Amino acid sequence: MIRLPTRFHPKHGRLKTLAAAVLAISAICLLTSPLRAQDDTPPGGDPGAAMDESDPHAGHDHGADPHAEHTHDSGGLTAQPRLHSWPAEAIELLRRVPIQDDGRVKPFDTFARYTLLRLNGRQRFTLENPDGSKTDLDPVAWMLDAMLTPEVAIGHRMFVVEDSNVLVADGFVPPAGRSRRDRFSYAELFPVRDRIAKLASQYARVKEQDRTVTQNQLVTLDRNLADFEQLTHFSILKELETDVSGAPRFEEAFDGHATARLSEILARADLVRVAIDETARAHGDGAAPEPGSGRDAEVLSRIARLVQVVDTYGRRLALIPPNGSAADEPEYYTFAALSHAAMEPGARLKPQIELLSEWEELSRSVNDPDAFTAHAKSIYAGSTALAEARAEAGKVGLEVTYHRMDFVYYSLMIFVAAFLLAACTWIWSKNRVLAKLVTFTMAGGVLYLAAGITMRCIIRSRPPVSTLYETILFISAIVVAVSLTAEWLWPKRVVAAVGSLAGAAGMFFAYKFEIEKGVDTMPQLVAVLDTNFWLATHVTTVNIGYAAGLIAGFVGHVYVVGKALGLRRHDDAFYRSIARTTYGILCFGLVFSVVGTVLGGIWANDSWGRFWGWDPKENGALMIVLAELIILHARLGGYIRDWGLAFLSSLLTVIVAFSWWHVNLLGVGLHAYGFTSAIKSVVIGFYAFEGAIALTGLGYLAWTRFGKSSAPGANGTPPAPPALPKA
Amino acid sequence: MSRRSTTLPGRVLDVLSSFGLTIVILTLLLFLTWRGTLEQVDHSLYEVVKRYFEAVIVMIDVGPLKVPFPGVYPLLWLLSVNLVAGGLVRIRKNKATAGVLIVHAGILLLMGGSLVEYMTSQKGHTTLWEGERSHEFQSYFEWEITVASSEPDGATTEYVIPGEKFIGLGDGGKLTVHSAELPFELVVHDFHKNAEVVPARGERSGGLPVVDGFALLPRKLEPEAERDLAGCYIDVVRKDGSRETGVVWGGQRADWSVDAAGRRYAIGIARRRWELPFTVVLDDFRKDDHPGIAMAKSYESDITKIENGVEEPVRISMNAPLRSEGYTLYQASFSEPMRGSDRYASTFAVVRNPADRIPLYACIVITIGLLVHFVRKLVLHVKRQSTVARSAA
Repeated sequence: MIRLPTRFHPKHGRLKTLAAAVLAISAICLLTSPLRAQDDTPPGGDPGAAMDESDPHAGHDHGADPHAEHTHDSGGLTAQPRLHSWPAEAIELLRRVPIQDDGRVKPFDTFARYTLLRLNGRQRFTLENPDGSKTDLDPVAWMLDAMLTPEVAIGHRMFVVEDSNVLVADGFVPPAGRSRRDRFSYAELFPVRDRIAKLASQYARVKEQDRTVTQNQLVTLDRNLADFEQLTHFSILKELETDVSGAPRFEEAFDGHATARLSEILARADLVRVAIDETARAHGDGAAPEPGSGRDAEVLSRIARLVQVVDTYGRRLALIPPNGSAADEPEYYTFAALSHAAMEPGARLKPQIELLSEWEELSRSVNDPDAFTAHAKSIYAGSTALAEARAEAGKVGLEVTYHRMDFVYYSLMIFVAAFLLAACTWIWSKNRVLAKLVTFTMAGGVLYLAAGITMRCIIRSRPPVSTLYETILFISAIVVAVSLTAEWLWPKRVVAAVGSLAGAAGMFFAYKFEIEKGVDTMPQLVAVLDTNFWLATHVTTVNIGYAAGLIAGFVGHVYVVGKALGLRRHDDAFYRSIARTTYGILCFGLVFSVVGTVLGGIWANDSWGRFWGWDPKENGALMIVLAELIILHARLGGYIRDWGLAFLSSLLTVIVAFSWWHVNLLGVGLHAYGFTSAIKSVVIGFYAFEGAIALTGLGYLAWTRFGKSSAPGANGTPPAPPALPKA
Repeated sequence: MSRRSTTLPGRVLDVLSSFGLTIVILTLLLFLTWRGTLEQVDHSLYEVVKRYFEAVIVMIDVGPLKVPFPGVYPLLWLLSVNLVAGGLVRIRKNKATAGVLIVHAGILLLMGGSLVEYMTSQKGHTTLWEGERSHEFQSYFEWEITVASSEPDGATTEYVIPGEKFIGLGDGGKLTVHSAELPFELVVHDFHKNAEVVPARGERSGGLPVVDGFALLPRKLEPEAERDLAGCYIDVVRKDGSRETGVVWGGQRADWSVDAAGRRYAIGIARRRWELPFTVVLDDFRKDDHPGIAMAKSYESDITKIENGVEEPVRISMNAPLRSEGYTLYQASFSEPMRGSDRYASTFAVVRNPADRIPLYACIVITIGLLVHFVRKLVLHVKRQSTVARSAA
């Protein structure tokens, strides 16, 4: 049900909302019109004016209502308070509507989630109510706000400005009480929108690596504002109708209605086409006009302008599945594309035009919850039926479920719990129930994550790893699974803790990576990656090698740091077991690294015609293999013993990080997946952490070799730290 | 490993088969691979490969010093010796080392295959517009100077100066080429791997001769070496002592024409070409994007392979090359139709590599060896643990 405030007057409220909507759309259209650079007056920029001069709201400023309650007036763009809430049933139905975005069919829910994530930095939007309370908006609800009630959405504080001082110089006046880094609404940023666009266009010419943080953020802000503007264009749909009264040719076609909406016009596209042909012919023949033909021509001209408006503003969302198979007709219709297709001779688009009609009705039923839900039902049914006929609806529900289950978040929680439990086993070392609980929690976490990975495989019809994001999920799962196995083989309650912590860190990284990228994590793949055989073999094995290298190094950390801090100083068996564990995982990793690397070469040979090309990613994989071989041969040759094995394994994590992430940031080679400054910071942070571990180890080595006799303390030994429990 | 030898050959063999040498080689390889990777940010892959991976000595900046390191190529030779001596000959041969022996054999096979590829492979490309045919392909990086003359019967005779003869000439270097069949000798000088022909005045510009108002201006090497356009000056010295100087450049549309002994010769510089044992005709090229976005979903070329008059239709796409007669054709790139045309062009990478399948066989051998070795170790560990657990119980 739509929740109305007690003092809400439906008639006035609706008028006020409509007026504000017209103002907001007009302002946004004016700003984003492709012609605005040529002319200050928006030609076609005011869709209301373009549609119908007789529209009482068209072209007039109804927005600056000084009596409006809870409005945010900002430089001429006024946001209206959110007086509605979308019916829950409608949201659930619309969530599952199949649409096409980023080259694939996905639920409307996924589109809404990632758009909100990109703009807001979170997949939920927290709305500040006028009474100070807060409401969490579902991504679909937020998306409906932007699409259907832009006059409200322009007041949503969702755009993160890292340093608002940058904009102050350009005339931006931050509202009182806002910090330098804060979220601002579109209405608040509107006065400096042009300036943001200009600066961003200037900075976009600089390579991302060379931009300052502020410049990068401004480019992102501009992109986000532009995305939002495109979404708000959808609301034009509710205004898209034209006066056809008094035109003999059209009155009958539109059942005597005085006005015709876009869907009605497209449904009678044959008539429009004939009218165009005949008008053109009559014009060419110089024949005397028939009675009423002047009005016909006028209506025809209005229809042409309406289609022009759709062509300009109806290009963002591909909501309507076409007829035919996905191979023959791959692209879903945007409203602009549907208008063009419907005007083609012989077009048979009845179900598509009916669907358009339902979207029109939905956009006009914002204040009527029952009607809104009914139209949402029709949209869901119509879209699903069309998509099912193309075999594209089958995985839409699964994808909605995938996002609902929030695998990353819950796996993170489970791994944290497993780590805490593992830490408890250090205190209550005899408690077998606790030890079993650690195992079950870890297994539960890894199974939950594996379920998420499996769902992704089913949705994408791909093996587990085909994107950088998926490497994080997969490697984290393998890290925990290997830790569990190692704990079973060498039960010291250390590997379980290390594995849980690494799994939790992996999930946290996946979460941050998703936010940083702000794009759908199930993108389409470039042509060379379109091979499930090599993705399943090379990519999977090489990532298992990464995972093993990491966990071997992390277990090695325990040895190095434990020795340096003097933990369990006299428990040689404990350290021997840790070293054996490290060695075992290292051997496991070597198998997958070697095989994965060679398989990569064979794939490259099949795709590019060479086995080895010294590409950075190939080199990274080779470096892992070389490092593992060095460690194992050094141990075999007696050059290192347990400490050396653990220390060098610790360093291996740096090489894995280099191969996994750093080479992608170099911006060269065939595997450069794009530079991201935030990821670079994480990689550098990781190097720093590993550097600290290495220094600790080297410090310990220096102290044991050279400084033992002269070091302070009892016989030169450092003060005894708290001991870990015995195994 | 056996005890230390007392004889000199024995000691040499000790060193060559030692773990110490293995570790040193692997560490150097690791370091050079890392440096070679980072170098690619500022230099072309081709340059980096030449400098780090194919050179005998690599000079690396360490602070203000230039420190010599062995290149990857000699290191791999040394590693092969070490592997054979230590990992196959001197290693104890029993159940415990069976897996290791298999792995080492697999690695040798892989390295042998790479050597065969390095020594004998031909790598290049051929670009065809729809409807065009070709029976040759050209190198990405190698250049050759060609001298062509038309015979009275209409046939063309081509003389070729291979790139390795002049590529290292450097500033001031000259190469004089004679041929009994040519009525002149050629003096190649001022060769540059990447250059541009620019208008110039006077007799010399920037130290280089000006020919017919143009000079060859050296340019910085491109990050993608295949974009480099080589050029040089050539002096034609006729038998009567007359001399003519010309500029040949990889980017020029027509060769330089020289008249001698009553015939006309066309002299030019072009990327090295190889013959294919069959002819390829591009019938159709298709590029499909993912719906609604500018990301390629697939590239496909329908070609006709003509060999000994027999035509065979073949489809080449990403990850599905054509293999025939020791040559492999891969879908590499494409060009949009030119203005006024609807014909696409498709570029195929062409490789002749006798060791094409060796990495696959080596991979299988290495996998088997690793599994034999480590699974055995795992089983032994589990057994030992069970024994310890039983005795503790």
